[in-house]
Amino acid sequence: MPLRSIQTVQNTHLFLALFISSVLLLAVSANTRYLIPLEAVIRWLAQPIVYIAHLPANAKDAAASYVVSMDELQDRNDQLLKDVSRLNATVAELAHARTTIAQLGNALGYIEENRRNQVVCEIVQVNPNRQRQEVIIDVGARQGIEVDSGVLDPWGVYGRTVEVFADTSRVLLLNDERHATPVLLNRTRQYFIASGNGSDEPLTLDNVNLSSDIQVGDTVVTSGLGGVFPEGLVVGVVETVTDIVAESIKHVTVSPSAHLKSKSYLHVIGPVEQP
Amino acid sequence: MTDTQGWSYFLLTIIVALILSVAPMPFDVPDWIRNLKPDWIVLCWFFWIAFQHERCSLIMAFIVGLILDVLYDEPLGINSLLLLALVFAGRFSLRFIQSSVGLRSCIAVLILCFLVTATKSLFLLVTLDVDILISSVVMPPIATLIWWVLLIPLLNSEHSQFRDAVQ
Repeated sequence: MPLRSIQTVQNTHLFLALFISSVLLLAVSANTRYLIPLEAVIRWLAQPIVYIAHLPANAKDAAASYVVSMDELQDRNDQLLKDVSRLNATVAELAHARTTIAQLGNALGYIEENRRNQVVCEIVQVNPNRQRQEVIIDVGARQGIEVDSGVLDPWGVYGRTVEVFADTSRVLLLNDERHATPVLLNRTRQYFIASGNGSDEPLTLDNVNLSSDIQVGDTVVTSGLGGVFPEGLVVGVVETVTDIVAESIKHVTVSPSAHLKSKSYLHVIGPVEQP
Repeated sequence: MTDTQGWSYFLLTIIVALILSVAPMPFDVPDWIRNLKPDWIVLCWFFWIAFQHERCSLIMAFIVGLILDVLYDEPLGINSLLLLALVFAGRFSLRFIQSSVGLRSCIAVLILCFLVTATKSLFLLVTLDVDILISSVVMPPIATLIWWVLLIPLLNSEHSQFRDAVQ
């Protein structure tokens, strides 16, 4: 057999072997979690690529925080001092309110829900896949983060952890199509499910009855059901309400309060604090 | 230029393509601009298939595919499968592509890139129920084609020199 034909046959065999391997990998990884250790090894090997890819953005952030004028620093410092002063006053009010609530609770026999730790973190990577709304944060199992921990930004509910590694975690954002949050309307205390619809799209409330009392501008908060978020965290504000008479439902969209498209510090709600 | 240097160039371009693939865009960029990001990996592999197909080994395509799976956070195997198919299809269409760096190569880039993007989106729809956005299927092949068209004058003017240099 000529040399070129032998090479072609060998290449075809190799192609078939690798093709079948890929199909098997795909079938196993799409349906089971057996390949997570292999993924972790490849992820570790690919860390330098991720690091270099994020270098320009990180350098820009670093430059923005280091290269500022004296006046700008002074203004920022003044603003922060004012904020601290205002927040101290709020904390004092809240401490008083908490004592009052505890006294009322004791009188009524109410058992206070255990407090939870909050871990502050930063976004280190954004999933480049345009059909997924996910970020990687710089805290993981070593910092006490668990799967299905709620994640907040300074403005509201941001998402939840779906995979936890040693020092990083993957967070599914509130507006991802696979994310659903049990919520309630602050005004009427009605329970709903808020589902994500992808980037740039508002959240929608599922299965809203035509007779439900919902108005544009109503605040939507977490209901505490599902165990990921405690009750009362701000999810968003009702943006539009449209009656669909033929299906006897209302189409309700909610604008998320969290700034899902900006880089800010995040808080991960940790496990319940032991008394 | 030695064979080792040729391999170094090949590996370097693959690494650069991987870095560009996962390089983040600013948070406030609209989706239509995000969709204009070309498929750097397809562009890079197509370039090497057209000019130095001997270097585009199937094992390398498999490994790069696995790395892409992890970087894109997609099920393990999908990108390796698509890259293997790309290399195999590319080798079969060598005569069609190599005759000139012009219209034919543009058609090949557009079709291959579209097939890769569409197959991946279809797979994600079937397995993970992720909706297919028409813009995210159509725009990356067009962006890749634009980059390829930008490369054509450079490749045509130094085509023979380039081949001599890397061989």
